[in-house]
Amino acid sequence: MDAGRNDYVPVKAKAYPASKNPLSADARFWKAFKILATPQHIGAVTSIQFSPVDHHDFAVSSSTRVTIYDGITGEVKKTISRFTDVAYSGTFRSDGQLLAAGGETGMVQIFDLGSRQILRQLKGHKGAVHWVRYAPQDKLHVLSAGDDRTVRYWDVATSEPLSTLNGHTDYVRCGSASPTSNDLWASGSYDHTVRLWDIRTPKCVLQLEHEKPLEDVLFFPSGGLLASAGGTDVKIWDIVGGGRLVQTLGSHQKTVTSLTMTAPRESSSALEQDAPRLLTSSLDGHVRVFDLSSFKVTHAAKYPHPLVSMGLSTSSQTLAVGTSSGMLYIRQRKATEIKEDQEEKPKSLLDTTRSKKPKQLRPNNYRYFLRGRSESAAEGDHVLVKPQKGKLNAQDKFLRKFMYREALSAALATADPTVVIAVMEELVARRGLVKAISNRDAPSLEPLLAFLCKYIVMPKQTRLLVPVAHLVLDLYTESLGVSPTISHLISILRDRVGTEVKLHLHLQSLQGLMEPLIQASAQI
Amino acid sequence: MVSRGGASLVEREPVFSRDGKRLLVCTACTVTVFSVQTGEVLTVLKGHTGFVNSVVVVPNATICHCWTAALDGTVRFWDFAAGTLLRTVNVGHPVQSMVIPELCKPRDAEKGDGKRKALVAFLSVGWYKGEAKDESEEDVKGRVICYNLTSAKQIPGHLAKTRYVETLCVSPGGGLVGMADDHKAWIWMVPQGGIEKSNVIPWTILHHTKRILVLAFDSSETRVAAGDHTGRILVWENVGDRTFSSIDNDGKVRVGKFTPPPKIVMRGRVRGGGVRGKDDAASCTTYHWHAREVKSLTFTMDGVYLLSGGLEGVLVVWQMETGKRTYLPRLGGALFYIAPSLHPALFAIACMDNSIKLLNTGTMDVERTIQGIKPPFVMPKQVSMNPSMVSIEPSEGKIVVATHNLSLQFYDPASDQHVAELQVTPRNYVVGAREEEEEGLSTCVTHVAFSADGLCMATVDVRIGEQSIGGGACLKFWEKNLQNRKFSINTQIDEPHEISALSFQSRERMAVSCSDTEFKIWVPHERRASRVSWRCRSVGSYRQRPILAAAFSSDGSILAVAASEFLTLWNPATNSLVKVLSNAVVHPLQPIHHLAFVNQSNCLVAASSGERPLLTVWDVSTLSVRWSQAISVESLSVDPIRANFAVLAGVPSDTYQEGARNSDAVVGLFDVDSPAPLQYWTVRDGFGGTLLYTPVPQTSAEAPKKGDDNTMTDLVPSKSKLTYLTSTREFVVFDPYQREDEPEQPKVRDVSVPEEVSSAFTALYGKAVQPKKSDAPADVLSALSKAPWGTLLNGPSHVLPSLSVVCIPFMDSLLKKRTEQT
Repeated sequence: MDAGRNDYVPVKAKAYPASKNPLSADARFWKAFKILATPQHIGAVTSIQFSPVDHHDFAVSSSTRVTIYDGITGEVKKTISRFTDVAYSGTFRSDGQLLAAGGETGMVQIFDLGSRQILRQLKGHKGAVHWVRYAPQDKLHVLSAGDDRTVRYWDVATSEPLSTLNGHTDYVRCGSASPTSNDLWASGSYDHTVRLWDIRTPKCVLQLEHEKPLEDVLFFPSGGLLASAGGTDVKIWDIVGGGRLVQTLGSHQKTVTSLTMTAPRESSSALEQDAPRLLTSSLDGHVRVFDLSSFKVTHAAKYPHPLVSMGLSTSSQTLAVGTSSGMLYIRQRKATEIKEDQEEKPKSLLDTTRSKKPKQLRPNNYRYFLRGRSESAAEGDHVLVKPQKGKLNAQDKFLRKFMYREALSAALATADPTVVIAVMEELVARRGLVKAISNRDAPSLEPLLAFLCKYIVMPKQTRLLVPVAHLVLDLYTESLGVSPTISHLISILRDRVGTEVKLHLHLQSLQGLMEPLIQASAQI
Repeated sequence: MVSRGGASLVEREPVFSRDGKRLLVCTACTVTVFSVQTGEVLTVLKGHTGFVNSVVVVPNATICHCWTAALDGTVRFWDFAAGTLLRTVNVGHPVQSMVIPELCKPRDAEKGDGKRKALVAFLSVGWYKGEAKDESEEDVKGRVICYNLTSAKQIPGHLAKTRYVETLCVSPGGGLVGMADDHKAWIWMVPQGGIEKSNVIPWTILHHTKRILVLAFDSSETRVAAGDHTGRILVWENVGDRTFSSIDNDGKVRVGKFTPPPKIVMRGRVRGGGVRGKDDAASCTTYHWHAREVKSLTFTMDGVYLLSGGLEGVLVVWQMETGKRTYLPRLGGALFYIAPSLHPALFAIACMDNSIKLLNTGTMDVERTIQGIKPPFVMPKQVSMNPSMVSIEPSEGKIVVATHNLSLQFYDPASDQHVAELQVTPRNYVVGAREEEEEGLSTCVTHVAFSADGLCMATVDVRIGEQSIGGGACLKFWEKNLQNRKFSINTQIDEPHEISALSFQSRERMAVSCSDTEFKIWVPHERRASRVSWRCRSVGSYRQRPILAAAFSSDGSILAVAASEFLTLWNPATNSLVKVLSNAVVHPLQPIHHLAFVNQSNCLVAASSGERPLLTVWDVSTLSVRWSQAISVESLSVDPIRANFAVLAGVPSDTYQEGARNSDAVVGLFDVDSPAPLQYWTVRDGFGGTLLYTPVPQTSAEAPKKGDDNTMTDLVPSKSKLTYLTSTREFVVFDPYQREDEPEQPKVRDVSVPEEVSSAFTALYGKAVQPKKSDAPADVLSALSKAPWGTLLNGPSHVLPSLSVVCIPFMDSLLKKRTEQT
C-alpha cells in the first residue's frame, strides 16, 4: 500500500458466520458418504451382504436373483438368477470365493462366484429359508434358519446337516455368529425370543425374551454383548452376564429391520470415530447411528422408502441400503487414509542390505549438468525469491478487465455460492450488477437461473438473491417463451418460492399458536 | 503551540530543484520543500498571504533559489535551502500562473553577472475591470502580461485577454510559452534579445473543437501536445514554422516589423491532415485512449515518449512514432500533474489522493510516495445518518480518517505525516468512475471508533445497493497487535443493523451501536478456547424512536442513549432502563445528535440541531438541567482531564454579520457550570468540521483523580490538545488553555541537506554493494566522480538526455574548472 500503487485485489469468497452447532465428527464422517448409484431392483431388497475380503463386493438378494455389486465402482458385477423362487440371504464365504443363498423353496444353494455354477444344494428345510450364514472362521460349515422353526448346521462338503437345532416355536428369520467363538450362534425368531446355540452340544444355552418378533440379531465385536432388533426397539443384551438387558434403544417409529456395526479399528486416528457405531435401519425410512458408549443417536439419515436391509463394508467405505420398493442406495466415502500404511513400514533392525552409496556424478553423464535442481536451501543460505504473481481466478481476470458479464458467468461456473455471492457484491460495489445480468442469451442465462433456483430460499443468500431474481424477471419477461429450458427453470423458481412462502405461512400460524402458550407458561 | 497541517499537496504542479535532491510543492500559502531521497519535509517557505500558484527554480545546481507567485499579488524570491525570503516583487494582480522562460535554460549565475539580462516573467493574472478591487468576482478576467522582475516593472501592454484566468506553460528550452484557453491554445515565442513591449511578441493560436485543458511542449520546441476534456490528445507538428521562422533566422526580433500570422497560407503546399483552419502547424495527430478528461501531459526529455494522465488514475506512456501505449494502472487517484526532473527517467506525479509519487519510467515503478492527508470523498446520497468518519487513536494521538477505497488513514498531526493505511475491506477502487460524481461512492467507511486504551477499534462500512440490490453494512471489530502496532480483524458482523452511531465504554470491553429503532451492546465473547470474538449481548429500544447518539459514562455504569428527543439512561450491566430525561422547556424538541459525559463531573451534554437547536447540560446526580443554550452544534468533544467540553457551533443567525461567510463557525470551550464560554475562537469552513480532543493516555489521565481535584488539576499541567479538522481535512492542533499573550514558540525544523541523489545507474539497477576494502579501486572511483562534469554523464547511453541538452552544461563545467584553477 505504501509502495504508492495498489495491486489488484482478488475477490475473496464470502465468509459466513460459523454455525453455532458445528457438525460433530460423527456427522462429518457419515455425511462424507456420497451417493454412488441407486439401482432399481424388481422386488424388495431383502438382504445385503458384504464380502469379507478386500474390494468388498456385496451380494444383494431381491426377487429371484442375487446380484453381486462391485464394492468400489458400485456397478453390477454378476447376477445369479438360477433360483426357481424368491432368493433370500445371499452371503459370502470368509474368503469371498463362494456364495450361499437360501430361498422360498427351502433349499440352501452354494454357488461358485467365478463360474456361477451351483456347487451344492443343501436340502432339508421344510419351509422357506430366510437366513443363511457361513461360519466366520472356517470355510466348511453353513448355518441356516427356516420358516420350519428349525436352525440347521450343515457340512457343505457332504451336503449333510450336522445338527438340527430345535426350540423356536415360530419362523426363524435372523441370526448371528459369535465373533469370538466358533461354536456359538444366535438366532432370532418370530416367537419373540433370541436363542443362543452351542453347536457342539446342539442345545439352546440361553434364551432372551425380546417381546417382539425379531427382525435382526447382531453380536458385538467383543462377543460379550448382543443386539437384537424387533418391533420398534433395539435391545442390547449382556450374554456373559447371563442374558441381562443392558439397554433398549427405541428411537424408530416403525419396525427396525436391520442392524449393522462398523468394524472395530486398530488405530482410532485413521477414522474420526473411536468406538464402533451401531447402525439401524427401519421401515420408517430412517438409518440411525448409535454411539455404543453412550447409546445415543449421533447421526440420522432419511430415505424416501421403507428400509428392509442394510450393509456396511468392513472398511467402512461403502454403505448400501435396500428398500421395500426395490431401490438400492449405494453410498461411498472417499478413501483418504490409504497411503499412511505404506509409509509406516517399520525398518527391520536386522536389515543387512546396505544402502547404496550415491553414485558420484561425472561430467560424462547428462545428469551431471542437471544436478542440484531440486536442492532446497539450507539454513543460513540467502534465498532469492522470485516475486510470485498470484494466480487469478477466471472471474478475477474478467473483473480486472471490467468485463462484468463474463465475470459473473465465470463465478457461476464455479457453482460455489460463496464465490458467486462475493462476485455479485463486488459488482454491486462497482455498480455493474445490472450490466452483468442484462443482455444475456439463453445459454448464459441458464446458469444464473439455475443458481437462483437453488439458492433463493437459502437464508444466507435470500437477501441478495430475491432482488436479483426480481431484476432477472423484469429484464427477461419479454423473452421468456423462447427457450424451453429457461421456461422450465422459471417454473422451478416459481415453485420453490411458492413452497417457501407456504412454509412461512405455516410457520407464522404456528408462531401465533405458540405465543399465547409461551406467555401463559411464563406467567405461571 | 499551534500546529497546522493537512494542506493539499496536489493543487499545483510540483517542481524539482536543479540538483534533483529537493521537490518544491505548493501547499496553500506556503511552499514545502521535500527531500526526494527520503520524502521528508526539509523546509517550509512561509510569507505569502495568498495561495501560491507557481514555483520557478533558478537553474543552477549550486544555489537553491526560486521564484514563487501567489494570489496575493506578489512574486517572491527565496533561498529554499535556508528557507529565507530574499526579495519581494509586488505585481499588484493576483497571479494565477507564472513562467520565466529565461530560467528554463541551464546556465550559471556567474555568466549572467557581466551583463545581467532583465529577468522577464510571463504572468497570467486576474484583472479587474475597473480600478476598484473590491468588485465582485465575476468581473475578474484573465490577462497575460509580461513583467520585468529585475526592475519590478510591468512591461507595457498585454499578451492576451481571457475569459477565465488560465495557466501558462513553458517549453523545456524556454523558447515557447503556451496557454490553453477554452477551445484554443495560445503559443508565444520568447524573443532572444529581451522584451520591451508586450505586443511585439510573435504568437500563434491552435484551434480545437473541444475544450483544451492542458498543453505540453517537447524539447525541440516544434511539437505541441494538448489534452482535451473528452480524453483526446492532439499533437501538432512543426508549430509556428511560418510565424516564427523568419524571426528565428535572424535571432532577433525586429521590433515593429512583426506582422500577425498570414491569413491565407494555402499556396499549393501539401499540408498534413488534421490541422484546423489556418493554424500554423504541419500536421495534427489525435491520440485517444483516455475515457475522461486528460489532466496532465509531459514529453520525456528526448521527445520520444509522451506521458499522459487523466481522471482514470492510469499513467499512459505513448511512443510518439508508433502510438504504442504502455500503462501504469491503479495509481490511486486522478493524475493532476506530471512534473519532469533533470533525471530523464524520474517524474513526480501529483495524484488526486493528495500524494506525490516519484515514478521511474525505466522500471515503470513508483519509487517513493509523499502522502498527505487523504482528501474527503463524496458521500453516497443514500447514507442519511451523520457519519463519524474521523477519529483520534487514543494511544498514539494519530488522526484516523476514512478515505476512498474503504480505507482508514492514520495521520500524525504533530509531524504532519502519513503513518499508515488500513483497508477495512479488500476491494479494488475504480478511479474516476462516472457515476461516482453523481451518486457518490458506492462503498465507504461511515464510522470508526476506538476503545479508551486504543487496543480495540470498531469500523462500519456500507455498500450502497445498485437499484436497491445488494446493499448492506458490515461492522468490524479490530484488535491491535502489540508487536507490530497494526490492527488486525477480530470479528466481522454482516448486516448488524443500520448503524447511526458507535461508541466504546472506557473501562471494560463493551461497545454500543445505534440504529433507527434500537441499540445493540456488543461484548467480547469466548467462543472457543483461545479465540475471543465480539457478539451482540443485548438489544434495547425506547418507544421505537430513532437513536442517533449514545455514550457511556466514564466509570461505565451508565449508558446514555438519545432516542430522538428523549434522553434515556440505561444500566449497561443489566440492560435495564433507569431514567428518561426530557428538556421540557423548548417545544417542539429536536432529535439529539450529540451526546457525551463530561469527565470529572456528573454532567451529561446533549446537543440537538435543526430548526431549534439546543445545547443542554444535564446533572445526572440530580437529574436536572444545569444550563442550556440555543446553539447549533456541529461537533462536540469533551476534555479528557477537566470538566470542560468544546463545541463547534455555527454562528447563530441573529448575530450573523455582514460580510461573514455562511460557513463561518465558532469553536467554544465551555465549563459545565456556566453557559458563558471560557474561550472561543472563530474558524472558517465550519460546516462538516470535526472537533476532537487528543485523548490523554490512561496512566496520566488517572493521576489527577487520586488527589484533590482542584489542587491537582492546577498542579498538573494540562496536556490535552484540541484538534479541529475541517471538511476539506485541513487541521489545526492547539492547546485550548494556553493564553493568547504567551509567545508562540517557533517550531524549529532541522534543515538538513538531503542525501546524494541517485544516478541513472542506481535508479535502474539499484545501489551497487561497495566492497569494504578501501584500496586502489576506491580511489579510482572517487577520481571518476571528481571529474569536472560530475555525474552528468553517469549511466548507460540510452538513458542519457539528448546531446543538445547535455552539451552546454558539459562544456560549462569544463570551462568553469579551468578559470578557477588559473
